[in-house]
Amino acid sequence: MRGSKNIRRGISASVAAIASAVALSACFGGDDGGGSAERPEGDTLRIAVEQAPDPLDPATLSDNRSIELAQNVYRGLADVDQEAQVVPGLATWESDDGKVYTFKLEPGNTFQSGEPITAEAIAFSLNRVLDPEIGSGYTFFLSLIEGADAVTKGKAKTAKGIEVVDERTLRITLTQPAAYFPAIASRWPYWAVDPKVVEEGGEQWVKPGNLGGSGPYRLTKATGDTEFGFAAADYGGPAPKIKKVNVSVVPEPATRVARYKAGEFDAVFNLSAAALAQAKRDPELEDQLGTISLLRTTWLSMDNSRPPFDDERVRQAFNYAIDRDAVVRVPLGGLGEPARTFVPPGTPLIEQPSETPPWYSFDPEEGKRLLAEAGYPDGEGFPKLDIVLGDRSEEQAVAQYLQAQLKENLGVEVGVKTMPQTAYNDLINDPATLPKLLIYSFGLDYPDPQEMLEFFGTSEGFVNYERFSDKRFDELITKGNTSLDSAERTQAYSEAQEVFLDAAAVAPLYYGVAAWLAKPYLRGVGANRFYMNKWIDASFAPEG
Amino acid sequence: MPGYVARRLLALIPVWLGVILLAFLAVHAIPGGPFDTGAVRDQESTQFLLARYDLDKPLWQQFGLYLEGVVQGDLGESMVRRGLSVTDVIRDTFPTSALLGFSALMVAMLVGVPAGIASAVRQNSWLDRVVIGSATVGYAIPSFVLSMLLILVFGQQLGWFPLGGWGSPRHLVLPALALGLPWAGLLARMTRASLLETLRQDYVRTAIAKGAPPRVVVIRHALRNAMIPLTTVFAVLAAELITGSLVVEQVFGLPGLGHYMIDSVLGSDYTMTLGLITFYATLIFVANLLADLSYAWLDPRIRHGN
Repeated sequence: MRGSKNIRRGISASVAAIASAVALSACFGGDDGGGSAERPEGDTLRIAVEQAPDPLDPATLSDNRSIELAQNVYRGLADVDQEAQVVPGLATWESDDGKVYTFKLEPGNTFQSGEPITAEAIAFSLNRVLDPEIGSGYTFFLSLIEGADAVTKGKAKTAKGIEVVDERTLRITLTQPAAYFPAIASRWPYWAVDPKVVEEGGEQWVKPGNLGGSGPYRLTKATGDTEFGFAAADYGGPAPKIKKVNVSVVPEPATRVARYKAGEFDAVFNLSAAALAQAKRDPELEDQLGTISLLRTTWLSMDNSRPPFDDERVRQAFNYAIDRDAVVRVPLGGLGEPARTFVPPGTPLIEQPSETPPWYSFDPEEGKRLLAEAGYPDGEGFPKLDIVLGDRSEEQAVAQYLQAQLKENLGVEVGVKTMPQTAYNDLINDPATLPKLLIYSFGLDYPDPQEMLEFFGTSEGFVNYERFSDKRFDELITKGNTSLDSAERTQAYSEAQEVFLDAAAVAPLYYGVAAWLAKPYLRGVGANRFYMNKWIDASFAPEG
Repeated sequence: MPGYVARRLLALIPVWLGVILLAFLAVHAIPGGPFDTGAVRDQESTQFLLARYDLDKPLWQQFGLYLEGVVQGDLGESMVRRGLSVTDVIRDTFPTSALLGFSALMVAMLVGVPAGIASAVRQNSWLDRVVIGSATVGYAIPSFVLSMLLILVFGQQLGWFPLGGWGSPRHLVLPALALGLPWAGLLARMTRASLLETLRQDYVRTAIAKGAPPRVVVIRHALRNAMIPLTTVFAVLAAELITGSLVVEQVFGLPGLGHYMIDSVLGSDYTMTLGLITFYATLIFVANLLADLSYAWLDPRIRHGN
């Protein structure tokens, strides 16, 4: 057919064109960002994170990715420093009995609107968190306050225990002595919001441009869920060195790193294990890599109250059978630290034991022996159970690895059952459906062992999924919670943890590790044991 | 023709309702609710929240309330992110997804259809084999992998295009290719098959026998008839591309509708999930309706009520 020659010529021509274009560009070489270590023009810190934040309202915050951005926009009664120590925030405090706390607000602090931060404003902020209309998920951080219950149940508008003594003084009375209260008062439900801005703004008061915050930065713009712009604000304190911060949401870790390398971002956070490995192999990136061990533990929880895990030999056997170093190396790709205690190292007010019981070391032979002694030689007769977990991909990899280890080292066959996080929470919080074997991960919200030991270990602990119950443990926790002497608290918590570890209540697996990349021209950008560093501490290095 | 349109519309409404009902039931059947985030609340606070979102009412009543809202154009408010209305989310992010989808459709059509035509016309030549081969490979590669490859080669190595983000026409190129090329493969194969089929018809042989130039035959006579079966594909493809860009949006970090869909399902955000499904369903129904109408327009036999 006559037309065919033209078609053929046309196609050959296109192919030739494309080939020469590719060849030409190869001659010029690609710009892969080799010169990206130079500081760009402008005064904006450009960072990339993996997940978009929820609206930055302290009363409704619940996930770490939102909290670590919001911590720049608000300040609370207390604060936590880089060494994970509780320090004064907007106020200093004193207490004689651990039950009544008198907070004295530092002068000079203002909201971004210019209004002074008064005791009344703080009281407003606190009562607001308790308001059932707001739907906060963290009212239990205020549940110790007298009268807080009545507010959350809709029976009162304000909590009895929150008293405005004068413009600068706030008195908070708790239902029982709690030495760890100042640590809680550093957390987001205690962050100050401007009552006028909130009342005038209604439900949408947190939108970009609002001046309701109390910290050095405010949200100036938000583009869908992908770009968030922050700018320095007036708050009564020293002006931040970095005037503008741009947060981009890039869910894919590999893309985040690629764009960082190309110079699009000054720092990127939440690196995955694969991205970490990629950065380590790259000579240009390995000096810009930062990691820190977090105050977070992931463990395998076993139901101590029902067979087969009511027998401590079975729990010990499981612990012996897990090679924790391999768990960190293989499914986690190095992004973790092997865990042989419950409370993560670095937590203040607890001393980690110099020697942990033997079963936290890898010894499959001993594990086999104990399992046989308990009545399941080589795993025979062991009930068919599933390791139940939520949908975090790192935990899934770990669960599958454990499944293999238990089969290989004990002859025990377990399944792996994954489900969406909300379904998982639903399942484990209902005593009727609590699985016997599950993977749980917990990161401390504030630097005090109380949160972890009380809630996960005491007989009344509301997230005590392993059903551990020991009178001595309960007593020690009460002592640690109520004593006002740091040495005494440390002693009590350390001893309590030893009781817990001696009982082989759970099988600790690993501590979390955070990894990030930051350009060499940055100072103070990175992460601490809880969150991304606050931007007030960040600066660009001087030129030259 | 107007009668045809009216009949099609009437037929679609019960199906549309059925889809929303199914989605509603499915969303409520999943264990775990919007307030099971792991944060601790006591019974009363939970009850309060459930009542606020009408979750304590019987299911049929909730569905009725929901439909009432939909008909008035109100798709509700997110149960997880207070104050965020579903219609606002759609209004802010849909243009991005739509632009991406449309560009991908253009890529698919402009690459796929000519390739399919060329290979049908040169059946069994080396060109034909290359086209079919690449079409199959292109269709088989997951969009995730293709996206990463494009980023690595054209973004990082060659530096021709940005590696992600949004804001200029250059940001559109790689994502549109990542989304559109696999479908180009499909369209190429379908065009080829349809055209081959048409070229075998008697009227084509007659036209050639009468001395009409082959190119005229292909373009004027055969192509138009070969396109008819393809219109259904185009319509569904359009809807697919506009809504199916979740993975590409994720990899390139684009401010589209995709990740709201993912997050709302994983977070059991009933209103957001339902609202987005209702929106998607409506889009697909409109696309189908347009497909039916264009089918009728292209084929006179249908238009005149055969």
